Amino acid sequence: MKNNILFFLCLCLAFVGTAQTTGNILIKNGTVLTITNGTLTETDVLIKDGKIKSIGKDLSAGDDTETVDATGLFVMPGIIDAHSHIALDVVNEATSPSTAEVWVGDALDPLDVGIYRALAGGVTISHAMHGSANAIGGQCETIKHRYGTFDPEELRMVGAPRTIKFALGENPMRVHGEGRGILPRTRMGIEQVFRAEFSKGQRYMEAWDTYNKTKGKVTTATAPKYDRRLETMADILRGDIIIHCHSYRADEILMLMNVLKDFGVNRITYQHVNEGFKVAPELAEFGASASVFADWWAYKFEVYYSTAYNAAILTKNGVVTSINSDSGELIRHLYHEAAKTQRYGSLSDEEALSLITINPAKQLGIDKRVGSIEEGKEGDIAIFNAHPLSIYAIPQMTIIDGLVYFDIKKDANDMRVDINPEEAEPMFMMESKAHDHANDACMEGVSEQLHKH
Amino acid sequence: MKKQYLLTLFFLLVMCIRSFAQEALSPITKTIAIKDVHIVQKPGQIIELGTLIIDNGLIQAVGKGTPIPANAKILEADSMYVYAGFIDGISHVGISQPEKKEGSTRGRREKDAANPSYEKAGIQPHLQVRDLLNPKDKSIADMRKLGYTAAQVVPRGKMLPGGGSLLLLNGATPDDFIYSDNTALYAQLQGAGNVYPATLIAVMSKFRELYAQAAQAKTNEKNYRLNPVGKNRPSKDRVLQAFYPVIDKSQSVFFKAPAVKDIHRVFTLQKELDFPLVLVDVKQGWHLADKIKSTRTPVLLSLDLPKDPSKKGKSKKGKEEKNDKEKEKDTAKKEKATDKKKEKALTPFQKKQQAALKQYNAQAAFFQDKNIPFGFTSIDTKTANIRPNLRKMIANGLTQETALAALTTVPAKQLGVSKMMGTLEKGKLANLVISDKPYFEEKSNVRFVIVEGKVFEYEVKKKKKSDSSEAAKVVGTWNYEINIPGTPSSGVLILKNKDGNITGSITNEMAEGAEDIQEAVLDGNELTFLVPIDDSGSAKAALTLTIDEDSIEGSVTIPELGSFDVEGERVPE
Repeated sequence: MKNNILFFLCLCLAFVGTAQTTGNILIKNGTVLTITNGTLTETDVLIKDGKIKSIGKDLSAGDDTETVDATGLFVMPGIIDAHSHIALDVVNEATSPSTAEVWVGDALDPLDVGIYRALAGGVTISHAMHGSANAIGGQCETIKHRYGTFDPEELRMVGAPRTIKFALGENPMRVHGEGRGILPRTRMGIEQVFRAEFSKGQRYMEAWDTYNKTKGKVTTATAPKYDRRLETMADILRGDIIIHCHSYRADEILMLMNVLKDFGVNRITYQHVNEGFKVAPELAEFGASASVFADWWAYKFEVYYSTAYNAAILTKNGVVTSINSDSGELIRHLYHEAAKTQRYGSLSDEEALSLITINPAKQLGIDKRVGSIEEGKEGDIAIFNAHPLSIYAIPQMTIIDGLVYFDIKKDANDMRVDINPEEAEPMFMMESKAHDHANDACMEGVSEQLHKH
Repeated sequence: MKKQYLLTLFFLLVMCIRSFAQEALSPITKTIAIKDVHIVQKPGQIIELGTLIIDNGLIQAVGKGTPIPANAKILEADSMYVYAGFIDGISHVGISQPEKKEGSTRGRREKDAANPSYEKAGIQPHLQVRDLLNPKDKSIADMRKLGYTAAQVVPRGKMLPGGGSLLLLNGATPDDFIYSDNTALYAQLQGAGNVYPATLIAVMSKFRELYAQAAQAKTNEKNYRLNPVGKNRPSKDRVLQAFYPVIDKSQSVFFKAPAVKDIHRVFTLQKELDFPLVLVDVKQGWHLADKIKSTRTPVLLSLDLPKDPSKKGKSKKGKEEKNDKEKEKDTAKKEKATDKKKEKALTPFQKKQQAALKQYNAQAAFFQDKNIPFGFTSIDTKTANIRPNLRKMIANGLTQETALAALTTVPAKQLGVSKMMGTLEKGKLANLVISDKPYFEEKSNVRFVIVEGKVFEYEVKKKKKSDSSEAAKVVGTWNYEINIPGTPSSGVLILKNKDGNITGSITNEMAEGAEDIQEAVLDGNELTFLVPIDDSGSAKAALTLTIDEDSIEGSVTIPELGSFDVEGERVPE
């Protein structure tokens, strides 16, 4: 148990610029909720070099391996949040209906204390997303909550597939239509943004293909002008990028599936998707997945027709469903949010826990690596004092790649890593980067931008 | 006819006088001798009581007992300290602040936010300093007065403000200033705010895109030159053309990266695109010192330092903020009255803050101890803070030699002008600064600055006797508090006016009885005086107070203890 955060900090400083660090840890005698292989009582989990090496009884490890006594505790895979905006310095580049080329991975903020708060809720991975100001927003980044580093690179989950934010409905209409009097002013306009940008992406791809074929053979061949926006659209068309689309209304959800069919794109997760329950069979048939709130709605007109049974209905219809936070506050108790599906929809323990583990992992394309406790998977673990779906559950320890990043016994009052010497008041006294329900986090940065002159 | 003749004569006469007057302005001789001075030839190399001869803008000779030419004008600098003129690694000196346009775009959302002009987008790498320089801008004289004789100047702006030019800080027209052009491509991670690229993420993307497009355009231009037949005319986009020398690696991108995250992000771009990089305005560099060292990335540290939060200096920010602060002060004072000791102890938060402050103040020393060469940049630093901040860095472990190197030899090397600037050697530009005491000492004054042989002389402000009206303003009884962490104390200060001289006495709860204040000098509203603090009377506390009608604010320096904040208010009569 020497491995506290401060120790890790020292490690981080020592390893600046080197590969992402991993550790060894043996978790003894816990109730292991594997998610994919049932519940194993009085079972040990051994993590070696950041990977789960073995799961079983009476495991032992070398002296170099720290041991955690989990007797009476519940061991589950690290919680994964498929929709979040923590650890980001910028959420929206709200200047154009399509900003496919921008990437929030360029604005990662490893110093955001929100990462630590998420760890304190057992969350090891979050999907740091661009906002919903534009019909085609920026690319997102899947991060591991390796808090304590100053290097944004260390947050990245290297190898996770690329993802991009799309948005339907009121947000892009308000920002561009109402705000600037340009397309899209209506939901019809949003469809045309998608169609136009995909078409441009196709032409761009064709132009490059033609050039690459003639290059060297025809002396007059000139490369098409490099365009990062269309380059990104081409990558979506090639299937290299998973779409995560901010959505509420069923008609729009169907509309986007039709657009994607026309352009041969099939990797999509709908985000929020409050009316998903109305089109659950269609989503399942398309192979689209859904990432929803447990019971959060009515914060704007298009989000009134909602139900707390949404996650259960989607699940029962065969849609890969997750529950997300979209909030620096909700992210701290996603296990409560998952538990609500047992009250509203009677999901089993395994189904409910899948909503915050293996299912979001599938939606992010990282389910081969994380999301369940299986040998060979990455050593991301959350340990609770009670069953995580119990209202009495309190996270005790959060582990990423075999390293302890949160330990409730060593939870100091002030966990900031970067101290502003000029700051007048403690950060936690002021409104931090945590988002509350009153605000739509997807629109972060937009009002400031629009009101700037 | 006669009248006309007289008029012509008169006119000619006027012309004569005018040309004579002009003649009188230029120096009689271009040879200058500086003798019996301490010559700091380069950091760590000093010629005691040596002689330096300047002829026609160049250093003619440096040494001990060097013969002085008969035609030389001798500078009155006996026993003073001579250094090579300072070079500002990156600067906005001479570039006037743009006037803020009121009302024109107020409240208007940019309709063309997605496709703004290069100008609105802040993408103007083609801009040249000579087209923007204002030779009369006050900043030039201000920086010169500190000892700066050269500066690599870049335009102000957003993402890509323009190119850099190395200037000598003297001249009548912009062209006079230019030493060399196209010395840098200046870049910042700053978005345009209301148009694309508005935010960091778009700036990062746009930088990559422009770089790749410039490489394409450059190739197309080359191929077109080889054989234009059957090809479309290549782009002549001046923004892309500005990248060509960087792509050729004949010019560096001077990238502003103050905070730790900025440095990481700039390194990310550099790693992807592989351009020659100089990190500029670095404020949190200790986090990446090893990387900066292993990649041999040239670096310009910021001369700006954070304000000490425990020192309640005058806020020059908005009035509202000031009012808030004052309110805070009021409530804080009430609390103090109830539970004084508890309030004054440092909270864990404040302790952390003080530790962080120390890291900022010791950044330069940290680089020095790691053997990483660095220069300084004045960008985003108030000119008045430059010398106090240098002293703060020295108090935190920076040696005077390294400080001098960061102002002279290192930037000269970074700019590729070591042959002509940075040290005092024969044949180099006669760029000098002369101070009456060693430059980095608190009491030293810059007395001469010489730019390419042109002498600027500075009088030391003699502390005049304050006039009676000023003295009258400070007279009265004041309650004050000294904020020594852990052991704060308070007392009463009584000030009197004796024929324009300030006298008075002071008490403190920690000591018995009252002491007379000594050597009180009032300069404007700034009062300095000494107070004996031990029985022998040899140890004295030095106080510097700024007096504003009914409040006093300042500091006290107590031997062997340090410097602490003092504040207080007038006791109403």
